[in-house]
Amino acid sequence: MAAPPAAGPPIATLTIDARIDEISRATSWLAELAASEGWPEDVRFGLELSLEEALTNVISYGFPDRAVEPEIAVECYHLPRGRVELRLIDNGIAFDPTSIAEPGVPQSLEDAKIGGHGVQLMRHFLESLSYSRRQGKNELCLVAGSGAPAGEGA
Amino acid sequence: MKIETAPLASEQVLIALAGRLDIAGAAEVEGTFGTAVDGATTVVVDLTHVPFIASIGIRLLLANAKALSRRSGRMILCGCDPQVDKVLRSTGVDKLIAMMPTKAEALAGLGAPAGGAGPA
Repeated sequence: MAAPPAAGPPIATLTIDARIDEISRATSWLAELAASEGWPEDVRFGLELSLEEALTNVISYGFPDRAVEPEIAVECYHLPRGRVELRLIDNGIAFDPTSIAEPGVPQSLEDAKIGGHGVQLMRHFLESLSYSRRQGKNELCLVAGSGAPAGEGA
Repeated sequence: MKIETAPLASEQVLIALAGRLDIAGAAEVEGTFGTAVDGATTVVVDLTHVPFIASIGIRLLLANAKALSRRSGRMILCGCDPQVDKVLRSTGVDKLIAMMPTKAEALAGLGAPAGGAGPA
């Protein structure tokens, strides 16, 4: 699914290296932005959690053997009605998190899957999660703000 | 992220975490956490000072709860911040691991000291 066009230029951008310790730098950047922009707590938490999950995937799996020089950017946009969009753009291998199936509902700890909860969390805490591949880059679009989960009941 | 472990009684241990349970935090505590769980059959995990948990934190809790369950032990989470509580419920963790509102209530349920004679 193609990401809808964002409204106007980004209000902030961040570029990071493909290292795990850069994730903390990105979430701190977002927390500062949330404070200075006065975002509601739910918007701040949903975006911070989703950015953490999305960057964990990109950095952990997007650049096997560092075959290309990693370029990872996060852009932040204001949308109408107080919503906020984060756009994560990277030149890693093509990966569409929206295609990942959610873990089923386990009946017991024995049946429970240990992992696979990252995309489930993004869907739950975001209004929408969309992906496109353009010019050799992944673009993942995270929108929070209206209070409607992206994947409830899907 | 900080981790403190304290024995409560025979094979009962309290693990108190403080800080963000994200990919960096989980890497810092997973060794100590696993060692504390290894010697116990009941583990109370105090999340009072954890304002943020990501899927990597869920993985840490589930992996250790699973290990406990295999030897008929159990894990109890307590003191969840409202956002952390939402993360755990949205991924179904609350159906798999017991959650108590406060550390005092979790300890009372064990019959451990400091809990007093609370309801079972």
